[in-house]
Amino acid sequence: MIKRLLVALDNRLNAASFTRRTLTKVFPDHWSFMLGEIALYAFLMLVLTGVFLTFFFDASQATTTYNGTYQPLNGVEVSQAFRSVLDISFDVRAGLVMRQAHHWAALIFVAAIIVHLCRIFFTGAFRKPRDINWVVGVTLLLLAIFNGFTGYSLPDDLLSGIGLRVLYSIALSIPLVGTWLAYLVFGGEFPAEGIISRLYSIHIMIIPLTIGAILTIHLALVWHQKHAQFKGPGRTESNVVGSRLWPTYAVKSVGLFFMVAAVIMALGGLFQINPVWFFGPFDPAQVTSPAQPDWYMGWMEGALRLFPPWEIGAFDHVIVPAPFFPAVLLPGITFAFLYAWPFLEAWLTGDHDAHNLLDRPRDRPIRTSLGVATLGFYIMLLVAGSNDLIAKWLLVNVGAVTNVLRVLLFVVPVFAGLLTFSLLRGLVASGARRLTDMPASAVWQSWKRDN
Amino acid sequence: MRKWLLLLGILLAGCSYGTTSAPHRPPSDVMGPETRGPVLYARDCAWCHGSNGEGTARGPNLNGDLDGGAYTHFMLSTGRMPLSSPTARAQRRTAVLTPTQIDAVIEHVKTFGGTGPDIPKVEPTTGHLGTGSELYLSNCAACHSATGTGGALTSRRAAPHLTNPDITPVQMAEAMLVGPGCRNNDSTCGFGSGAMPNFDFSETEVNSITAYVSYLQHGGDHGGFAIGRIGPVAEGAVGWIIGLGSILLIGRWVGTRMGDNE
Repeated sequence: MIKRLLVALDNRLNAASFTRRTLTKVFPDHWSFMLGEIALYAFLMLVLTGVFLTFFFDASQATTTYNGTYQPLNGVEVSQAFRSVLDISFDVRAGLVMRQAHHWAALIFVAAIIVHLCRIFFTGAFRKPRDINWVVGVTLLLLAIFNGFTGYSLPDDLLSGIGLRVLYSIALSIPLVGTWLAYLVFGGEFPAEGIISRLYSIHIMIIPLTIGAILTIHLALVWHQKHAQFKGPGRTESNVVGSRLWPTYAVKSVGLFFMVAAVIMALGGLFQINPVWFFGPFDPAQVTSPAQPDWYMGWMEGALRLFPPWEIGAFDHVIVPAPFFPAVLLPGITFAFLYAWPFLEAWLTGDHDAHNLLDRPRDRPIRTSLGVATLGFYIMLLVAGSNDLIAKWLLVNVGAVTNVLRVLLFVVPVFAGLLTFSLLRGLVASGARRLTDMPASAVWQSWKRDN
Repeated sequence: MRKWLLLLGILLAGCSYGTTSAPHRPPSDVMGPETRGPVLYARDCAWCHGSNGEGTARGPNLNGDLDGGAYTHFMLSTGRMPLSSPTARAQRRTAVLTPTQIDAVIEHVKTFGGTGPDIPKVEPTTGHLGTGSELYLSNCAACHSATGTGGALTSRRAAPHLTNPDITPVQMAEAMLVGPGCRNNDSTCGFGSGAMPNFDFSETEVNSITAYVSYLQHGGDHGGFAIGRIGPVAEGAVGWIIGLGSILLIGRWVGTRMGDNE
């Protein structure tokens, strides 16, 4: 019976040959090739938990008097959006664990993309022909960060309102078009009625659908171009050595999904995240401290805190306000460099060939060192986003912390880059298999031999 | 390196508290209530505040428009005063004086002519939590944080965290009434001391705010480990280290074939 059905399907769709090809497709074996999958499964968890949340979330900014289970806010005027988030947290069955899992999944989603990006970068997987997929991937990162921010803003609590105010101010700082743009996005002067419902449409529909579409392209390109592999016996530029999709890789991958889901749900149940009931409903007259964005926006927050109050003015007008440089120009340059890197590197090295075999990070010491230095720069910016907490913990002046971080922002990348470069040279010179096997003298030897 | 030296210095300074605050003389409860106050004041306070509360170069006067029962009780009952040395940091610790001694010193300080409020009567149970949370978020959260964890201020000052259950409603109310700590331009204030303004709250408002702060002290966390209640910084750390960290370990285990070394 089942066989007849399948034969009937095959006669019409010619599905057997496609299925056979698909199931026997070979993927190279290396655990780091599953990093992108972690991001994919975190995204899947975002969709699953997010759909649950849409059943109960109300994006309206109309005010109402809260009258629910959470006693300390009883009788307080709140927006419908905030009220519905409190309801999700206290009155909807499993609402709080789903809300928290959704937030944790978002943090892990972007983190997994970053780790995946690092793997692609340090192994040279972005080189031709996969440079096109690098561009697709960077777009996904951009969308993930943006959607994270829109989601962070939806509960309409005090902390997220502060975040929106920062965004509004950043939009205002753009020369000439800033005020128009801020009005256009927010639909009026901050705090504008209706920004939550706009963000909601963007957060649950426009960006997720775009991510879904671009993700499909991303995966189709991996499929079509085949996965790059590390050098090894029998591995050439024109073959792929590894496990078949069915059963080996499929089982691994499905297993990984359940593991990712388990970790996200466990975090959702065990660790409190974004306790909006403490922050209360957004009120433009209130502020709370410490106030930070989620980590993936933290580097921008750090840039805003470190950048000196420099403005460009002319004819008694401020033409370019200070936030423009750290909050618009820096992210712009960051993503311009990310997009351009494969082509920039090909241009710099003169290597325009297609590569299907991956580099080990030590094979390309300059690229690896530049990568580490760049990571150092953005990690320092991220740290700077917590300058007030550092000042509090170390009992020092927050201004002093800021000044020290301003220096470290440039010292740390240079130091990290040079250290990486030295270690990699020693690693190559000593022929050690791992960094931990390398004798410390090898670094010194590799420098001495040059002179 | 300098940061570490600074940290070491702070730790050493902390140790010196323990050693120097111990050799206080035995409690002078043998004295009568009339002599106890002046004697304790002369022993522990006059060095910096002057023998009649007129203030010296080492410490502010105690006869101003905020000085009186509330201010003195706040400083003594939270252990901020007396300091073990004029340069020590006035921060919360176990009270040095006993309640009887504190009452005696307060009575003596009142004779200096300060016109500040007396120790307030506080009844958090009559307060309204909703009103308290609104007032707290409008007036307190900017420095003490919406979650009560405290926060950094400028000029090496910090707003203390309020989640310590030892902080009594009376102490909270006193802090609101007098705004303890120093003005930013006051050079006699020690390292890290606060700069809290005094607020003009009604009695019912004070009751509601203390009710809400007591609530912050005794609960309010509903989603598992509170991870410090400091928001996205701790959340990011947990997301990366525990979340992605464990997933990476799992991924490495799933993605590595048995017998593979790499």
